[in-house]
Amino acid sequence: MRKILYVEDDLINALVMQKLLKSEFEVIHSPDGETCMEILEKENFGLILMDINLGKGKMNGVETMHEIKAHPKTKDIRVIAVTSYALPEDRDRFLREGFDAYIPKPVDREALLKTIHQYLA
Amino acid sequence: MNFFKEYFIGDYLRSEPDVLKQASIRLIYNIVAVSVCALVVFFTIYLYKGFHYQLVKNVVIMTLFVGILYYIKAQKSITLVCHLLIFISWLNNNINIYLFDDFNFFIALLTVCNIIFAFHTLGNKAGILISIAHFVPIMLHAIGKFSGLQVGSAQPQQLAFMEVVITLTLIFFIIVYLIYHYHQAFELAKINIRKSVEELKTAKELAEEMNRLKTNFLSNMSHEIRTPINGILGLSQVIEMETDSDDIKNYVRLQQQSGHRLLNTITSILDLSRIEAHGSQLELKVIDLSKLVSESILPLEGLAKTKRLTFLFDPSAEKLKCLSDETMLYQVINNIVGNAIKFTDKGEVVIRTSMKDLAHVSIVVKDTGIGISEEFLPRIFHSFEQESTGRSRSHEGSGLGLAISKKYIELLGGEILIESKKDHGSTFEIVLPAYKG
Repeated sequence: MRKILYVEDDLINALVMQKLLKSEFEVIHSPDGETCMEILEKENFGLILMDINLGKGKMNGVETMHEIKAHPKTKDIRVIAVTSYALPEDRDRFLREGFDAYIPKPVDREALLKTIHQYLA
Repeated sequence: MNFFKEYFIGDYLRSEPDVLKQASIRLIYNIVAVSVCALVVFFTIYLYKGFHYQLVKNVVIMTLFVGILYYIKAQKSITLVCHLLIFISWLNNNINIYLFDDFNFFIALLTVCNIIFAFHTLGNKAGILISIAHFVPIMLHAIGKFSGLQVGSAQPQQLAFMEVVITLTLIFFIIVYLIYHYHQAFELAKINIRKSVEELKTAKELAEEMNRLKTNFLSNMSHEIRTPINGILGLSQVIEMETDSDDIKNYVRLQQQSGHRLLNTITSILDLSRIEAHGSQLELKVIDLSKLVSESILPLEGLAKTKRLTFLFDPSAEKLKCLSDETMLYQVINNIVGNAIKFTDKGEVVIRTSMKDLAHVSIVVKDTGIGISEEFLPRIFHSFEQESTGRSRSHEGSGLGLAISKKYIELLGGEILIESKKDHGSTFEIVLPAYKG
C-alpha cells in the first residue's frame, strides 16, 4: 500500500485522516515539522499532506514546506496544504507560498481522494 | 469686570466654535464696554460741572451703548453692531472731511483702523466694500480740492498740543490692539488645528490597529472553529464507512448535514464581520460576466434537478464586461440563484445576463417560487431574518445570505433590485457598472 506522510498537531484530525484514507493509503503521522524532516531523512514519500498551524512546533506548515522544497533529496515531493485557514484569500496565499495544492478543512473524503490521486500520478 | 463679560457674552462665546469669531465677539464687547465706562466718567464730570446739554447727549449715547450690549446678549450676533460702529466712524470721518474741509493724519489713521476692523469682524467681502466706501469720499475730496473746489465753510478745528498727543496715542493704541488681538486668536487657531490633526492621526492609527486586531481575531476564530468541525465531520465519515448498520449510516449522514449547516452559518457570520472590519479590500479585475455566472450556477444544477425544476441560463449575445471582484461576485450569484432554487418547489428558475443601459450590466434571476410578501420586502436584506421564522420556519439557512450579498454588491458599486409578489415568484436583479475598454 502506498504511503502518505501527514504533518498535523491535532491528534483527532490525524486519526480522521488515517481512517478516511485507510482503504487506499497508509498514512504516516508526524506531529510537527521537525519530526517530519527526521522521517524524510530515513524514508521517501511521494506526497505530503501538511497542516499549517502546527501548535507548539518550532516550524509552521509553510516553513516546513519551504524546508522540504529546499532539500535536493526531497524537493520533488508534492506537498498539499490541508488547513483550517479557509478564508477566501487563504487558497491563493498558500498556493503562492509554493504548495502544490490546497484542501480546506473540514475535509470531504471524495474531494480529498480526488486531489491526492491527481498529484500522486 | 469678568462678571459683566460673563453676563453679556458668556453663552455667546461658548456657542461659537470658531476662535477667530470668538475674538471678534470679545473685541466688540471690549469696545462697547470701554465706551460705556468712559461715558460714565464723563457723566459724573458733566453732572458735577452742570453741563445740561452735554448730560442729555451723554445719557442718550449711554442708553444706546448699553442697548447694544443687551442686543448682543439676546441676539447672539455682532454683525449689525459692527456695521453700526463702522458707519458711525465713517460718518465722523466724512463730517471732518466735507464739513470742515479737513482731511488730516487722524482721519487717515482712523480709516486704516476701520478697514482692519471691517475685514476682521465682517469678513473679506464686506471688508472690500467698506474699504471702497472709505476710499471714494477721500479721493473725491482730494480731487475737488486740487480743482480749487471749497467744500464746507466751517473752519478746521485747531487742536491743542495735549489733544494731539492723546488722540494720536489713542488711535495708535487701537490699531495695535486690533492687530494684536486677532494675531493672538490666529495663533490659538493654529495651535487648535495642529492639535486636531494630531488627535485625528492618533484616532486613525487606533482604528487601523483595532481593524488589524479584529481581522486577526476573525481569522483565528475561523481556524479554531474549523479544526474541531473537521474532527466531528471526519469521524462521522469514518463511522459511515465502517458501520454495517443502515440505521447508523443514516444517522451519521444527518449528523454531517447538520455539521455543514453549522459550518455555513459560521462562515457567513465571519464573512459579514470581515466586510465590516476591512470592507474596502477588493481584488478588482475585468470579468466576463456571462462566463462567471455560468461557473457560479454550475454547483447548483444538481439541486435544481433533484427538485425537478426547469433550470435555464440565457446569456447575453454580446460579451458583457465589468470591473469586479470575482470571489465576491461568485458568492453573490451563487447565493441568489441558490435562494431561487431553495424557495421554488415547482416551475422554473431562469437566469439572464444583459446590458441594462449604456453604463450598466445586469443579471436577472427569475423564479416561480413562494415569493415575498409586501410586509417582508423592506426587511429582506436584514441579517438573520427569514420571512417564516420560529416554528413555522420551513427553509433552512441562517438568513445571512442576502445581507452579505447586499454588502458585497454595494462594495462593488452596484445594487440589487427585487420585484416579488406573495405566491407569484420573485425576480432579483443584480445591477453592476459596465467596464468600457
